[in-house]
Amino acid sequence: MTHLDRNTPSIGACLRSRSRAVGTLALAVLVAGTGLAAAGGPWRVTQPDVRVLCPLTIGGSFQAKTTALSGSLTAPAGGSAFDGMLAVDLRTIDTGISLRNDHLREKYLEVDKAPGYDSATLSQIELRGVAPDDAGGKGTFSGLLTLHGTMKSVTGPAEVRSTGSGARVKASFPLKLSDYNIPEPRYLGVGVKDTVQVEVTFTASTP
Amino acid sequence: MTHTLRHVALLALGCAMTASAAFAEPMFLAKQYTRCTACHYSPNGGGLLTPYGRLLSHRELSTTGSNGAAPVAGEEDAPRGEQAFLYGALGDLLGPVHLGLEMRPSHLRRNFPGGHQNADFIMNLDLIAAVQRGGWTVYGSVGREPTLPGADFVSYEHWVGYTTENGFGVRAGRFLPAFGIRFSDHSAYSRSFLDLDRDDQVYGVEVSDTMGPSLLQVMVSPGKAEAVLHDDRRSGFSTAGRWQLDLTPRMAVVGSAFYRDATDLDPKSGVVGGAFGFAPTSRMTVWTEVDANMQDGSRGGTSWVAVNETSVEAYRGLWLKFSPQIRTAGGPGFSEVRRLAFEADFLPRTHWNFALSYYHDHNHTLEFDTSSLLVQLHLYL
Repeated sequence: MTHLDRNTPSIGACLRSRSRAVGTLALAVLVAGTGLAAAGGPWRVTQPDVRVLCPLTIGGSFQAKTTALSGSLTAPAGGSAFDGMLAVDLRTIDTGISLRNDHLREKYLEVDKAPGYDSATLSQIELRGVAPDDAGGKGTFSGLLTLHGTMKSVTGPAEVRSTGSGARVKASFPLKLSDYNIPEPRYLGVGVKDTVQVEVTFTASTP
Repeated sequence: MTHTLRHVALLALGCAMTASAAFAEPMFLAKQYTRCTACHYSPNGGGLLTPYGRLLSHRELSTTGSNGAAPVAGEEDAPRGEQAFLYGALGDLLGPVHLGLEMRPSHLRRNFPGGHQNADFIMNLDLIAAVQRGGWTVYGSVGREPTLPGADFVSYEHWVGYTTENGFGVRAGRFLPAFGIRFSDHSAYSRSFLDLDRDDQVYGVEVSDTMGPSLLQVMVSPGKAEAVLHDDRRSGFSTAGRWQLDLTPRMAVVGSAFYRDATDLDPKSGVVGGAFGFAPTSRMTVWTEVDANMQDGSRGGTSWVAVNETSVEAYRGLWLKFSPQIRTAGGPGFSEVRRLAFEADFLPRTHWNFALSYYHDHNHTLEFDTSSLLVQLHLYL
């Protein structure tokens, strides 16, 4: 986190409860609703699934995915944002093509460039539209995504569904690569468009 | 009766097997490639591979290419080594022109009622060239013509196209119309019975548009290219449309329609169809296409064509295919035919691979069976 964009606001606050764990493109989402906030937490991520839909410049798309999402969140005790963060290990993202994996990690995400580049984290997560005492529901979330040394706010739809062990959370948001200073992915005439769609699903459960 | 059966069987086999097989490969849906243009210059697939397509063939699809050298990330267009024409022996001599030389020495054994036939031949021998700059593509092929009477050479495709950055495209020239799924086997019932075989290119104009996850292609033409060039009696207006929607990177639906006006020798006809493909894993693809072929005139009627192709990558570079197919009789004079096809495609390297195909065809109307065994060495230089 030492290479954050100088214009990024509230860096200190965002890093406050950072866990060194893993991280990724994350997207995190909110663990919200549904009794989760009421119960307090901390809520840990289990059964995670992170997918990034990458539209190609020549038409069609491919999906990059990983299950290396980790982190914990604690329901807000007065504030509106969850404490904690979610992180994705960018070294584990798999596109189904080995050369594309290499390029994604080394050329575009530059996971070895500096500490923190190998993960993406989502913090300052807030949920809207999902009542804490609901058994589930749909709403929106927002958070601060740190990726490629840059922190930007993201927002998107979120859905929470109660399960036996906690809550199943699903959230998604568009991610503009140029916002994070990621070089335009292009190889032998085939490229990825500037905006990709991130979808994160996990179960939030107590330890 | 035996003579008639033999004649029908030979005709069926003749039209089924004399041709180039592997071109576009819908089985690569399993690798998250829903569009032909990822690897081919042609929007409809087949023919010359782009540098990216060659690279993918080498590094990701061939059995022994996983450790091969590749251009560094970010390079725009720098085929070399195994990704280049003749292993890059010509260096930069060709400038922006990309070339490919395709050749298929083949052996075919046909079994039919009362006999069998063996043949060794060069299935195709084509030199293909393409230049792509600033959205423009100029594409053409020239090769030996093994079947058309009086023709030593043929150019199956030659066209000029332009595609904007937003995915709107137009091309004009000679090409195979977009319809359904272009199975690599040209003798698949959805190609051979719907006039989408190796010699069925048209002269025409095609407009296409990529809108998010969907692709629309519309073509208008004065007729089949060979008819326009050599036989006015078979020349007639035709138009086709194809729409593809990618539900996910490994699942797509396709709707198609084709209208051919009457010619002096052929009745008016129309085809409508749908196809669905999905890849449950990165090593398996299942495509199914169903089409209704409607014809006017004394031999009119509606026949149905259904083709399923299930492909499994049993080992890196070894694909096994199973394909049940049926064409119903429709109007008078046509037979209901059924096929079971099995194929093994072994892709050791980009520049050479093998295909072993077995076809069992059953004529349900006349009640006789034929079978064929085809072995191909595919050289792609």
